[in-house]
Amino acid sequence: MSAAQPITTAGLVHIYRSEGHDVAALSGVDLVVPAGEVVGLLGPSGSGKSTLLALLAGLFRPSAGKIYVGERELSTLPAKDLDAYQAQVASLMLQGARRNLIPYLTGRQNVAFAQERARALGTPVPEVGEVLASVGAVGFADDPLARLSQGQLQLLALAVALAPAPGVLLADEPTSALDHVAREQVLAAILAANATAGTTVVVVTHDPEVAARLPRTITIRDGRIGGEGRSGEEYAVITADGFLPLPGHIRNALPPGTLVRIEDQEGGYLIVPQTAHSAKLPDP
Amino acid sequence: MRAAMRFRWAQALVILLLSALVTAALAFAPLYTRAVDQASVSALVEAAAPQDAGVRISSFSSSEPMLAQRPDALRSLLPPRLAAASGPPIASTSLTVRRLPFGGEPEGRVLWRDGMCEHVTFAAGACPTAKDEIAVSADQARVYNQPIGSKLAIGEFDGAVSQLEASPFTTVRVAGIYQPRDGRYWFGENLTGTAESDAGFDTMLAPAAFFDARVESRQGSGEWLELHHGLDLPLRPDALDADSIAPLAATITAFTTFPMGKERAATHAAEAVHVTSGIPEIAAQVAAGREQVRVIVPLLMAQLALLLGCVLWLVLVAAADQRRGEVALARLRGRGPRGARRLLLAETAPPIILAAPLGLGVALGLAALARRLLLEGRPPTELPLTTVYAAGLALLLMLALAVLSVRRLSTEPIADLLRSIPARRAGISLGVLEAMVVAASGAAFLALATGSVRGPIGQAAPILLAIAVGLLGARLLPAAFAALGRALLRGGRATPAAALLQASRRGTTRWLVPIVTVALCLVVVTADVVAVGARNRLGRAQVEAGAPTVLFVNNADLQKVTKATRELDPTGTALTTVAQVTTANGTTTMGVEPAAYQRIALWPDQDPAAIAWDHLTAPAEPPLTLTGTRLRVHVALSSLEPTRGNVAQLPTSVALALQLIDSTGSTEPVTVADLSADGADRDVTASIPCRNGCRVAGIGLVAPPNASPFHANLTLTDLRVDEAAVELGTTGSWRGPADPDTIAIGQAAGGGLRIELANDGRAQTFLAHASIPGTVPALTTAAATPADTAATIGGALMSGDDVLLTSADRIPFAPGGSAKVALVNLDNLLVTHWQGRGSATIEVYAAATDPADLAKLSTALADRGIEIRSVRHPGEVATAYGRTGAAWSLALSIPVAAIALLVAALGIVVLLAASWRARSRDYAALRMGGVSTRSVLLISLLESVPVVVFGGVLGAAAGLWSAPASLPMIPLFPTPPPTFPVDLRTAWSAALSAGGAALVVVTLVAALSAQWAARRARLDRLRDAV
Repeated sequence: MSAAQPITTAGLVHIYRSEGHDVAALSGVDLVVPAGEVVGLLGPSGSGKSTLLALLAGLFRPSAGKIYVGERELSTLPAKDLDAYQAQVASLMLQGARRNLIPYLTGRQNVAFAQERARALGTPVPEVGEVLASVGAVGFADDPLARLSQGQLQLLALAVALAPAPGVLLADEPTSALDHVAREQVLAAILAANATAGTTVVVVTHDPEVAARLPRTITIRDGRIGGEGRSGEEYAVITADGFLPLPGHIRNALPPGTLVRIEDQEGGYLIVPQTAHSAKLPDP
Repeated sequence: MRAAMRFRWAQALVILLLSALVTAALAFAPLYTRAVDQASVSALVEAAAPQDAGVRISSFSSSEPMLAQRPDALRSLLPPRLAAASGPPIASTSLTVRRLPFGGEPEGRVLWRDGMCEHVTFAAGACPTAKDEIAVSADQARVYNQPIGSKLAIGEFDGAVSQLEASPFTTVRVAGIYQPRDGRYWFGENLTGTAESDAGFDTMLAPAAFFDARVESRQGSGEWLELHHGLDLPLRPDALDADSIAPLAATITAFTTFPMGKERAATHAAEAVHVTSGIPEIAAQVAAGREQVRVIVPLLMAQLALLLGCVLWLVLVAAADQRRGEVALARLRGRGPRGARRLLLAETAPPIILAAPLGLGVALGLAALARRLLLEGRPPTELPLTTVYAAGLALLLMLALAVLSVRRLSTEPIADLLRSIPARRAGISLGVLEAMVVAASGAAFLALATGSVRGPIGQAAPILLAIAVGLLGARLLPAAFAALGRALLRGGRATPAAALLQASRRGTTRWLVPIVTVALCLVVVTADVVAVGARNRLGRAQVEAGAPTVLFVNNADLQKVTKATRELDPTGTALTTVAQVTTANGTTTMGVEPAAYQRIALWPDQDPAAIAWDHLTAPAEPPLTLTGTRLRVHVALSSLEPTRGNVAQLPTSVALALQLIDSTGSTEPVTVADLSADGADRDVTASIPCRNGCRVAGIGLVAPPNASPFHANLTLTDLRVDEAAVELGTTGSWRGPADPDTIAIGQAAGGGLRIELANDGRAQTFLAHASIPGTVPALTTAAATPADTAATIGGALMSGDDVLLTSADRIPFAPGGSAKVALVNLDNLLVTHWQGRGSATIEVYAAATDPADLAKLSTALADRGIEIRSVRHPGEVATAYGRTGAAWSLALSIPVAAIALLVAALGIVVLLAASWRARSRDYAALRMGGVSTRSVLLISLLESVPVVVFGGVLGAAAGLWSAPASLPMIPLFPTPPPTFPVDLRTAWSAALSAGGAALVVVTLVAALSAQWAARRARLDRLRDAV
């Protein structure tokens, strides 16, 4: 069983090529997730949250910047060590339950399959039944996958992700396409894993209800961290180069090009939009 | 692993089947090669005459009869290997005898052969056991009136008897009358056939004591002089197999060369021992066939294995692609590329490994089937070590394919693996591997097509070309489809445009085209090769057989046979007589009836009407026949006048002589009378040996040697034989020598003949009868007259006597004749020799093939006293050529082509099935967009069928174009035909029919597979993409 691992990214940039053009998926993400924390990644489609999750899982290497998971720096980790990282430390739960499961194996066999490499590397892993019990999937763990409901499949997918007792659980839309009951079951299981094993959890979600259940959320916008929520409160996050992304509801009121004045106030700063008359223009 | 294979059992089954077929293809080659080897030995030995399939040792000496080795002594000479390989040797002793008192009496042979009485049927009497007993044939007993108990005085009359007085003789009693049977026991001895036509005695059987008995001679008692001893060795069938025949042949060859060992090679005793056997020749044929088979069969099977390997590769790649998600999961769980490979191979390798013994079993089964259905001679069941090696090699190659097929996928980035559709390369550029394959295939094809490389390996040329054009076509077609699709789209024809654009972007196109191209090429070339082979086998068989049916009537009377055939078919459209006699230089004089031979003989791919048959002339003059024993003629001879030189040396007398040809063909001068040089005018009489009829070849004067040249007038009138008048004919009935000044012919008053002759110093001056041909015009093959036409060559008459032939024109070949043939008008042979004897053969060529017609013909000939000895049909000869290694190897190409077509169909199904999810999703999207079901079906067809048709047409064209380059290098026969010009022109009808049928098959398979995917284009497929 891996110990919970902290995650840190510094100036993370990822550029990919699409139809002959370079596209920046992430444009300098600085993120710190303490060990044992549960973090939700929010943001519109194409904002870069899945890319960030994939980078954290070691699926590809960043174009620039650093990723630390515990003591490991992923961007320079040799391929063999990256395999070990994926086997022992970080477990990615892909979007869509079936994509996480070998179709011809039962749930129990899938969990065992997911543990094999970690076990081979000497990492202590829990019993298969224990893993299945932790997500409430014992009752259907031996059934053929074709007979299972979407919710049951998703619980099994979670069990597979938790099988090697990872230090970090990375879950991409774990509750999408699920009904309310199933969503609750899955979410509860994720939180339980965090609570019992101290696993660091990063969850990508579009679902506001799920986001509301998470202690900390980070909103990714245009490849950057656009805000953070903690215990129901929304915060803007100043980037490393001093930029302040505005929360969404303010951005509509302050279109690009708007001049603002930042005034010191006791205990904080006041952002005051300027009209053309109030703004002091330089002398000709 | 088992769960995985159960989950995709159909895929595992396909991999298993394909792998088994690949293994079977490679393992079958050595099995079949070995079986063909064995079958060739059996077929050649079975087809050989008994004396050729065994070993004959004979010993005799005309000069020193005592040197002849008796059978026991011959047995002691046998080399151990030969003794071990042979069955019980059959000893024999024979002697040539003639009925006393010799002159003109029939000749025959007395034979003792170990166990002979068990191999004849006694029609009367029993096996002779006493030293003075013989058994005669039923024909001899009938023709020469020799019933049981009759006595016969015979004496030795052959080369060892120089003086009549020294000839041993005895009297024997006929104890049995036999009919021959068990041909193989007699080792090619013809016991009968002579007596039936009153040409002499058949073989007379006598006990061994006959030859050891003391016999009489005019000089007292003695023993037989020139005994022929023999030892026949029938070889045991189990001693003659593909492995043993070569060393055995070497032993026999050495034994033939030095029958008494090298130490005694130069002795007189060794010269009296002769060994003959056809085994060395058979071994040489087996070796030649083996060389061909060992190239053709493996190449053929390698082509099939290559195609199977391509399809297996496709299936493996498709199988790996289907497991992208599983590979991604394995990688995600830290297994790395190696673990991913293991995961994939755990599914694909077991069927391949299981397929190895299965394929070996299939190969063994196919070999057993081939032995039973195709090969002859019951080749034994064997498992050569090379078969196991081939199966092992197949396993290794397939495992290597399996590893290669997962290699790319296992190293692909996980993020790419997680994409639902893998990225594909676009454009028409070739990959490095493809470019290498195209370049190598193209270069190899050019090397074969331009003749840089020769030999049976040339049969690989078409498939090499197909690989090259298939790969290039696969690259060009999508670009062409894309351009055409865009053009159609601009023209508003959305449905075909969508189909073509879809086809242009499908990865399956890249594989479909080369697979179909290679398969169709193989089918077309195979059909062409098989048809060309069959056509040439039949053509060669027709030329060698000569006619639709050839009836052998050897030992019959040529005149009688010709008379019979002319009676039975006066128009010469259904029957004709052919006589052949071969000279010492190998040229066969072939007497034919030109018009009938032209019509009835078989002329494959030749126009016999273009041959200058009118050159084949014969003397028009009817023969002058004398039948009787006493000749009388009135002779008027003027006194001899000197032409030049010394009058004193004029002969005092000259002889009037006739040149008579008796019924056996012998031409002998017969002196009619001695005439004084001062002249004569009187009747003369003489005895002539013409009881059975003679023909007058010439008439003239014979002077003593060294006499001075003279000239004289000779008048012959009132010729009578046994007092019956004989017409001497007119001046046109006679022909003088080449020098017209030497003889002038005139008509005498009263119907006689007046001859003015000048002997020009020659001893004999003869006037030839015009019925006797001088120089005979002939149509010759190139081998007979290699220099030019108009050449004069030596031919032979039926007796074997020389005759001059003039080549009047060339013929490409003579049906039924050898390579060196001079065709002459049969009438030339009829006048000089009319009873078939010696080395001459007489055949009746018949246009009929129907057994009922032939039975009637046989009866009609029998009614005329002509017995048919054997019958030959071209089909039988062609069948014999079908029993060769070359033919058996080519026959294998038919199932190979069928399997290739099957595999191509399987490849189409696999390729279309592998992409069916993507296709059905696309079609579902089209249906969602309002495209009608009918249009979707049409698109599905247009997307797949043109690709397959393109590949098929490309393959067929490659096959048709490359077959002529390949065919000359494929041996159609074990040995080149000596006369028949091999015709390698493309068999268009066979090739096009096979290509067309194959194209229909692959098109149907593609259409059905495409429609299957289109019918699954339900809207819920779209969820797969979410």
